[in-house]
Formats: sequence, C-alpha cells, structure tokens
Amino acid sequence: MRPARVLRSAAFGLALLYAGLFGGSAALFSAGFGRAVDDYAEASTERDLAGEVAKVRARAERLALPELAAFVARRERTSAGSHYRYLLLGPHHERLAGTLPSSIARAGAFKFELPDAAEAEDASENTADARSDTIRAIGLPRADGAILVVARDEFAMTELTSWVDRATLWTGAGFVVFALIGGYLIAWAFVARVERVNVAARRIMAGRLDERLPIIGVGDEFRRLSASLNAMLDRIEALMDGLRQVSTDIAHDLRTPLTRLRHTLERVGPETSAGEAQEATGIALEQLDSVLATFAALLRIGIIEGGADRAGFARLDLGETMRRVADAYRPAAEDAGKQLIADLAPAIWIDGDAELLTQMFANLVDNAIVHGGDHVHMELRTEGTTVIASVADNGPGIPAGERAKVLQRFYRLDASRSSPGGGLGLALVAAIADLHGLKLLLSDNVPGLRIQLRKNCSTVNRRHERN
Amino acid sequence: MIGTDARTPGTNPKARPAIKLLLLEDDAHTAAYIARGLRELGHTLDVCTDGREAVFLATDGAYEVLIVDRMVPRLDGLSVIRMLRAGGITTPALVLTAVGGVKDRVEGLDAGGDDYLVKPFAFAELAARVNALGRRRPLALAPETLEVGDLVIDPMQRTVTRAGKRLDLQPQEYKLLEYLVRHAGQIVTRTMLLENVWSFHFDPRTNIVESHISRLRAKVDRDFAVPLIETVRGAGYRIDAPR
Repeated sequence: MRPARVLRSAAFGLALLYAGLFGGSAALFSAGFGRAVDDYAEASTERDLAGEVAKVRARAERLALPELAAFVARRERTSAGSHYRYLLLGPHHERLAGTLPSSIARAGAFKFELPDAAEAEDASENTADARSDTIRAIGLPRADGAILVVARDEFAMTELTSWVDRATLWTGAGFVVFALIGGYLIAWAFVARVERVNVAARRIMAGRLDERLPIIGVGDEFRRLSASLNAMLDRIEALMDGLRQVSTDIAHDLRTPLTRLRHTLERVGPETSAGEAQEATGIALEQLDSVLATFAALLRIGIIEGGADRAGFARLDLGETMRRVADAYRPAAEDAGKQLIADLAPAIWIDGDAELLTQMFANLVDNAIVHGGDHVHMELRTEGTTVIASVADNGPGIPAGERAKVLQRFYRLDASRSSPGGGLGLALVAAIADLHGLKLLLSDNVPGLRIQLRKNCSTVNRRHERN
Repeated sequence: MIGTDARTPGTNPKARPAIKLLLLEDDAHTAAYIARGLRELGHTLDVCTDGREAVFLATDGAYEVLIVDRMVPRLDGLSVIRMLRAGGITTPALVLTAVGGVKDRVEGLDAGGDDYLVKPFAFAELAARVNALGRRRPLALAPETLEVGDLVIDPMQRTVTRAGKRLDLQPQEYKLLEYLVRHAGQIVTRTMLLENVWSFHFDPRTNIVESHISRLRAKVDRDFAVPLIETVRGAGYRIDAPR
C-alpha cells in the first residue's frame, strides 16, 4: 500500500492530532518546569549572595582599606570555584581588589550581564557554552566613599536550566518521532482493512453480486457497519435477481403469444375474404389484449415486489375484504357448477392495501373456479395470535413437488398449459402476500389445493361489537 | 373489456346527444384515432397539444367533457386539471395515461379528474366513459326517484318496483341496477361496472359481471313482457326504456 494513502488517512490524522496534543502539553509542562527552575535559581542565588554578604559585611565596615583589599583578594582566590566575585573600589573609584569591571559598582542589590571574555580566567572550569552570564550583586558603600561589591553568577543554575531544556527537547522530539511511527503503523493496519473492503466492494460492483464484504474487525461500530452494508447487498442481489427474472420471463414466455399473433396476421393477404379478414383481426386483437394484460401484470408484480406500495397502507377489516370478493364471485361460481362458501371471522384488522388484497383473493378464487372440483371454500380464522386466511378447492390439486415452483412467474403445470391465463396469477398473489408480510403456504386439501396466508399479529385487534 | 369493434355497434349517432369535447393529447396518432372515433359518434371535438393551450381553451370555451393525457409538453395533464379546478372550472375530466398503478390513479383523481383510463384502451371503453361523464346529472338536481320505462327505483328507501310490483334484490344486484339506471340509455362497459359497483380495479379472469347481470335479468326482466337490460356485444350493457 502506498504511503501516501496511509498519510492521507483519517487514522493517521488522528494519530497526528494526539501527537500534537501531547506535544503541546509536554511543551507547556516543560515551559512551566523551566520557569520553576528559573525561579529556584534566582531565589537560590539571592540566598547564597545574602549569606556571603553577611559573612563579609562586618569586615567591610571595620577594616581599613588596605587590609580590606587584601582580604577581598584572598577571598576571591579561595572562592573561585564557588562563583563569587568581588570588587573593591576606593573613594576615587580606583580599583583596589576584585575582578569585576569597575563600571558596575553601585549600592544596594542589582544584577548585570557579563560577557564571556571576563570568564577567561576560569577557563578550566567553564564548559564551552558561549553565553553571557547573569550576575547578581550587592553593593556595600562605606563611610569613606569606598564601595565593596559582592556578586554571584547564576552559572550553575543556568547550566541546570539549559540541561533541562535540552532534555525536554530531546524527549519531545523522541516522542514526536515515536508518535509518527506508531501512528503510521496503526493507520496502516486500519487502512489495510478498510482497503480490503473497498476492493471487495469494487469487485461486487463489477458484477460479482454474490460476494459479501469482509468484516472490518476493529471495533463494534465497524462490525455493525459491515453487517449493514452486507444486508444492503443482500437486498440489491434479490432485486437484481427479480429484474433478471422478469427479463427472462418476458423474453421467453411472451414470445409465444406474440408469435401466434404474427401468424394470425400473416395469413391475411390480398386473397383473403372480407369476412375472414374481419375474423383474423378479431383474433389478433384478442391475442394482443392477452399480451398487454400480461405486460401489465408483470409490471404490477415488479412494482409490488419493489415495495413501493407499502406507503399506501391503512387499517382494514380482512374479513370484510374477503367477503366482498366472495359475494362478487358467488354467482359466477354457481354458473360454473360450484358452491362457494365463506367462513369469515369478524373484526380482524390488519394494515394493508385494500385494492391489492382484493385482487389477491380474487386471483385465488379465480384459480379455484378454473380448477376442477365443485366446491370453493374461503376461510378466515385466528389461532392464538396468528391470522389464517385460506382459499381451498377440491379439484386435482398441485403435486407436492411442484408447489414451490408454481409461485414463479409463468410457471404452469403441464396440465394447464393450454388454458388461458398467462400463468401470472399465483406470482401476483405471492408478491402481494410478501408485501403484506403474509406467509404463503400451499397444501393438499385432500383432495384439491388449499392456499393459506398466515400472519403473526401480536396486535390482532379484536374490536368487540358494542351491544 | 376490449371489444372487437372499433365503433360501438348498435348506436344511432342521431339518437345520442352530441357532446362538446376538448382533447389534450400531443401524440398525433393517438389524437387522430380518438378524434375520428368520437366525431363518428356525432360528438364535436377540439384538439390541443400542450397543457398551457388546454388551460386557456378550457377556461374560455364551454366544453362539456375534457379528455386529458397526462404526458403533454409545457404543462402536464394533472397540473392542467388542478389549475382549472382552482379557477372554478368544474367540467368533468377523463384522464388518459400509460401509467396505471394504484398510486397514479389516486393521484389523477385527487388532482380533480373524474375518471381514469389506462392506455391502450378499447375505443368502446373511451366512448362509454365520455358519454357517462357528459351526461352526468348534477346531484343537486337528482330526482327523488329513478325511472326507466315502468321500472322505478327509490334511492332513499332502496326499493325497486316494476309495473307497480315490488322486486326483491340482493345488495349487489341493487347496486348494479342503480348504476345502470343512473346511466340509463348509455352503454356501460364491464370495466366501469367492476370499478363502480365492486371497486375492482383489475380484470378478473372469471366473468363475474355477466353472472350478476343474468341474476339481475331474472328478477327485472324475466317475468315482464319487455326486457329493459340489453347486452351490447363488444361494448357492455345498457338499460333503456323500450321505444
């Protein structure tokens, strides 16, 4: 994987952010620490200086100038290592002892900067840092106009603070490098997993719809994301299968009636009599209507399977819907020599589309009438919280092996291949049932076919009639 | 539903009143087909090809029925109807469309359309529906009883008598008869009956309408000298007073 991708990734960006935050707080800490050390250095130097001044004050006041000069020179020599410096100026500003520059002499507490040139005498003790030193001094004026200045440099403390600064810098830099490397590695691992998902997704989009995305196993939220994406793919695959099915069906099964139509029209020529031509036109129109009806039904099924119609659902009395279908079909059933009986429980309410459900039951009753037998039975009842609606006939039924296939579009039992109907009735029933969450079951009515639609309604509303 | 004859047979153009129609259809072929058929029936028809023109013409002219195709340029059919309704034009409108889903039909009726026909349709279907819309009696002027020859229906009481003799009808039979009588003299197609009497917006394989009509005939016509209910082959049914 290209480094550029890792560097641009969110994971790396987050790692940088954390590094930046920590670096910032580390910088703050070190600044505070440095400040504290500086304050300590100051206080320490002042304390030491005060101590030294206390020691020499008595002599500074009592001794005569020549003795004082000798004392100061001695003191300077012996305290060379402890960084005390002195200056003794006579009443006429003549240098009597000490190594400090005369210009700095003044009474009271003060401080000044001294460039390194003055440190040349202590070259052996000084480390090689080319900085100027801060010197703290206290000037003790005498009654005779002379002045003794006692001073201390902050060299030791300066050394300490500079060492602390350097240490902080190095650890800070070390941390940043560590954070960058660590962040890069973590980001790399993360990006690698995400990249695998991307690659799989591209493969799927290129046509391998049966594949699914690998799980990004980095955390719960990503696992859920992968699961959701895979569920989406399941749905897309189902829809595409449906589409493919429709195309196949159309190509395969509509060609036959259209071919028949062509044959009918082909036979009409200049030799055909007017009557024959009229008849042929009539037949052709019938065949064309049948094809158009098939198209309309296919489209209907497609729309229903897409789930769009669910938006128009309302609460309805299922028994009432079935009763209206039974009443509408009863005369036709009787004319076909069959008895149509409806046993419908009252007050069973579900959410659905009245029109689609009507069409569904009408389809089932249509089928039952067309089948053999002399009896059509519509039933609606509940078993606990399950609603069961069924349409049964006592015709030849469907052999167990074919019951699943019968719900496909255009599938026809060999026995009924020749009868009209397009073979879409049960496919439409299946689509409407699915849309309403109704489970479709085909079983042997012993004899005949029983089609059951079941729905588990935890909220089966049984509104009792008011007395 | 779809007949074998392009023209409704058995109709005398002079016997049915001519209706002044406006057709909004941008497909020249379809417009010519509809225009020719309706003019042959004796109606007057104007054709326009885009929505804005239709609004203009319908607001102005005194049309009795509008035939409106949904997919037209400049302003679609439903918007035309909405605009006219908003402007107080209550001319009955028949919506034509290639789109036939449940939602689409409801949309068409919600926009102010009075009937909805999916293409392709049989010409007999169009003619029958145009006729039904054009001869609609306003409800305010609805008479207290509906009469055809010696058949009398009292809609309030839901009673039916013929030649003074009370007829005992099942609820569906009554609904069917009432619909026929409200369109007395007009042809009503099987589809119109399925939609208006049973609210079936699909075509059942079994001919349930024919079975109900035969049951109705047994009660209304069989014991009487003159049959009132007529089957018009290739088109539909009609109830009419004997001439």
